[in-house]
Amino acid sequence: MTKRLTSKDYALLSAYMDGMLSPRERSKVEKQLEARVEFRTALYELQQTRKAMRSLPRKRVPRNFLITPAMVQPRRAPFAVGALRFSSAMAAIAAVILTLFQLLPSFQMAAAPAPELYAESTSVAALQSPAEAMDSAPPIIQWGAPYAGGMGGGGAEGLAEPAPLGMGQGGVGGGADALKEWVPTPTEPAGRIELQSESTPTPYPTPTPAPTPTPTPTLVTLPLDQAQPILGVAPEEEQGTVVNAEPADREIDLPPVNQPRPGLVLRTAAVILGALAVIFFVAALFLRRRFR
Amino acid sequence: MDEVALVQAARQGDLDAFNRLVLTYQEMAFNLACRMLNDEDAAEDATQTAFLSAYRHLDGYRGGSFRAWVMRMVTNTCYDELRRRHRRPTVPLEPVNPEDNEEIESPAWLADDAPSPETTLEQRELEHAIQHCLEAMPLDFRAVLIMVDIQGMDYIEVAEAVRTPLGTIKSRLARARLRLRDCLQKFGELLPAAYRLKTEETQ
Repeated sequence: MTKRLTSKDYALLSAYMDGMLSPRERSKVEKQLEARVEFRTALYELQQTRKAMRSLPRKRVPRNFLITPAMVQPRRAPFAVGALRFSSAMAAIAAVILTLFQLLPSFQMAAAPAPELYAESTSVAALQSPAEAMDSAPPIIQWGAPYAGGMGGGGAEGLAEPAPLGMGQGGVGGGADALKEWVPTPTEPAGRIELQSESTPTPYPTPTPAPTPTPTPTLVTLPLDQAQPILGVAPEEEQGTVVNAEPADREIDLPPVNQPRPGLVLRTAAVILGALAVIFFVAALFLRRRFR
Repeated sequence: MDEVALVQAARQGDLDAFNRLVLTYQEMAFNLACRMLNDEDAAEDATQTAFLSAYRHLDGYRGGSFRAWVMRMVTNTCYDELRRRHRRPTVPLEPVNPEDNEEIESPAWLADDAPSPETTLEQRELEHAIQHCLEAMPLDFRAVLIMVDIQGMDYIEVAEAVRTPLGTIKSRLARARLRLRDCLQKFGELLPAAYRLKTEETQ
């Protein structure tokens, strides 16, 4: 009965044929060769194969492969490689300088002049004639109004109508600030609230352009003779209605969009320069490899 | 001057010293490239490229068998050439059957009808057959088989040349020989009687 040889058997036979086995492995193979005909056959076939390979004639070299000094002289890369590498380096340096410049505190102050001016002007106006300011152009407190951002969390309603760019970011400090003013007097009935609000400057001005303050008088004043739930939780019969809604045809004063913002310009320039640096570097690398 | 001294001198820029090493190993390198590529012109280019690469990368030689190190350069250059050929295939060497546009697998086309002495013809047929089988083999198998069975390198040198553990070389060589055996069996009577694989015992 003959069994097929495994690849391990063939590996042993192949190494045995080349004399690359340890004495222990060699004696093991020799025992198998004595005992099994398939081992002998496999060895014979491997020997014939090796014999055929070894019979191949050696080819004579057609020439000498000596190395000459001209061969080992490094090939000069074209001028374009140097120019590209230089441009890449310059662009990268410029991009880094621009990025660092934007991080300077003085630049950050200069990059956002409009919101500060707006905040200063409104606060000055409030200080000069507070009563007049309340009458003529009181600040708006809108719970759930379209300009939701930073107003204390009227988000769900506000999101339904997208706020104009930059309008929802400045805010007046969120709901916590507004609530400070809502202190019911002890003599008033429970739940009666008189809203007093004062224009407060933006504590952390954002670099977005300041919206032009609108003199639209939209003071939200809750009726004083009725007990109303706090913070716009209306009675059941009034739930779902819009209280103090803005007129549909009210025009929203959008900030001027065509004014260049220095921060954005510099950031864009830095990104473009960075991209150019990468492109030049890759092009130089490609050319250099081709001319190696 | 011994080999180590020549390598040292070549490392310091002595081109003559390196060229003496080139003269020592160029025949072996050229034969290895010939068997790997089955194309003498390409083998010539590969050999020259390999020696140039060896000179440029002499710092990478960390001792051991310099012959194995040079053969590694040749093998790598051949691999590059074969990969390049694979990316940009040319007209196949084997004839194409006009009926189904498939390559003719039968080795009968290898038979050379040109009149020549019988022994020469047999030898050429055997060489054609082996080269045909080598080309059908994976590159790693082919390199090991050529280095051991044609170039006569030992396992340790081959392991250095192809940067593969010794055990892998053993098994790879055995499998390569089996593949070659199976391939040569297809040629049967075309091979010289002395190299036929089947004996009365095996039939």
